Amino acid sequence: MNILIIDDQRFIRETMKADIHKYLAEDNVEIYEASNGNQGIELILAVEAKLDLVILDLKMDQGDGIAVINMLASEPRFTAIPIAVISSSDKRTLELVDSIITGLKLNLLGVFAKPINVNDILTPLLDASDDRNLAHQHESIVQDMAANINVRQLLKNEQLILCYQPKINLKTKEIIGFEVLSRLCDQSNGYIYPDVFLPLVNQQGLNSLFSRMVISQALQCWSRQPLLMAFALSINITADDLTCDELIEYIIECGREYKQIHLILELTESQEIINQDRVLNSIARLIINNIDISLDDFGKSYSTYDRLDAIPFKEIKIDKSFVSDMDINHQHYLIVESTIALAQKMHVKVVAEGVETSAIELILSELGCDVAQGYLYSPPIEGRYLIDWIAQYNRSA
Amino acid sequence: MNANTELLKALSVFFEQYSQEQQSRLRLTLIAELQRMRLELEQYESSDSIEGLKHQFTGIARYLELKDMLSVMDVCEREQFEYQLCSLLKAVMDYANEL
Repeated sequence: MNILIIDDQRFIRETMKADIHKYLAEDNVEIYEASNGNQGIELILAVEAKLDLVILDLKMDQGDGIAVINMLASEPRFTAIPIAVISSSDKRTLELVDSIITGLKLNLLGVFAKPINVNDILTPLLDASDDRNLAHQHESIVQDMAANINVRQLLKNEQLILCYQPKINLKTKEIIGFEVLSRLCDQSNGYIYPDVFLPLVNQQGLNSLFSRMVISQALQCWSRQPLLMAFALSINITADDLTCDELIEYIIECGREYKQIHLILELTESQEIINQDRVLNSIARLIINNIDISLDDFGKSYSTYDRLDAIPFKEIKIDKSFVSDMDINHQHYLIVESTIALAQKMHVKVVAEGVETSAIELILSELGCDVAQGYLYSPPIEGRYLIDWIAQYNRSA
Repeated sequence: MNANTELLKALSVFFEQYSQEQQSRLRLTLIAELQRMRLELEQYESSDSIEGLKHQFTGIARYLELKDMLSVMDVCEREQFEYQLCSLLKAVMDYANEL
């Protein structure tokens, strides 16, 4: 095993070497040392891609840790080298560096505060080879599956299955609505999830056809069951959908036809707004025609506040990545807290996604969040089981 | 227990994790590093920023788990920092001499 330690403090390099030798016999490991980033870069270039681990300090004169990270990201042959970042910097700086490295798609084992426990680095490194194999297998399965799926045919054969996840009023614990989540059903592959089929739908230019089918099927499901009429029906829509005039016409028509159903369109945040004026025009038309718009995945995109300013949303949904660990991640807690406060001031309903535990439910209630959604209440439920689930939930509540 | 005794105790906890050969190398390295830092500090003008040296010292103090030294590091001025640096250097040399 070849390990490179880049740290400007000789004592810390010596300590790490001694720590590594507690776990790996000297014969089994070659340790290279660099006392600054520039020297580290020279060594990486000299050893080439034969390094099994780079332990990298951040704050150094003559080439800091970020310079080394940028160099590794610039050469495809180096991107797979496992990196452990070590630093005495504060927690928020470490989190920032973590997100930079993750964004650069480097092989990051972790960002560790000094003093580090070398075992914390070596254990994931040794496990990572197994994980990499598993991830590779998963990727191959997804690719194979995607190659074998004929999305157009599946849609034509009405193999679209809709599931519904409940949204719960945090004060009363009553069900207030459901979000529609789609699956495709294929005889050989079984259930196919959106992460696999949506890129194919997109590639084949079937977006508006697909959205139309989802809307049509969900409204039919609701109109067939009088009990469901009491609940709002939330359907995801992309900015791309909003540029299709025929689809907007269709939604407005549906709104008129199914007047009794409270339809909410959740505009996903991660998609780029294409042709802003056209999108705003469509949103205005939908709102005028009594269709509520919700801002989905709030906080995930840089344009969040722009959109909040420009569009009169009826609700915002805080992205689950902030909610699901807010009881242990203080930064996420602060983001959720301030989003709820902002929503309250703007008189916009706020929905927290990714609620998985009672502890998080309690924190959200205390912060004044209106609505919660997540596995604590239920995973997405197939339409045919919805009435039974509602009855069971109401009994237990 | 005076400050030097506490430092000696912390040093003994740290070094005794390692083999004799490793201990010897780590002791020599630590003394060399602290001496270099003291020399650098002596060469600094009174107006020079000592933040870089303080950052390096904090790194070492964290490895040695010197909580008292770490607690003053954010706020200490040059004189206090010099005192902390010299105290640690003296303690490491005393520890080495006791062996």
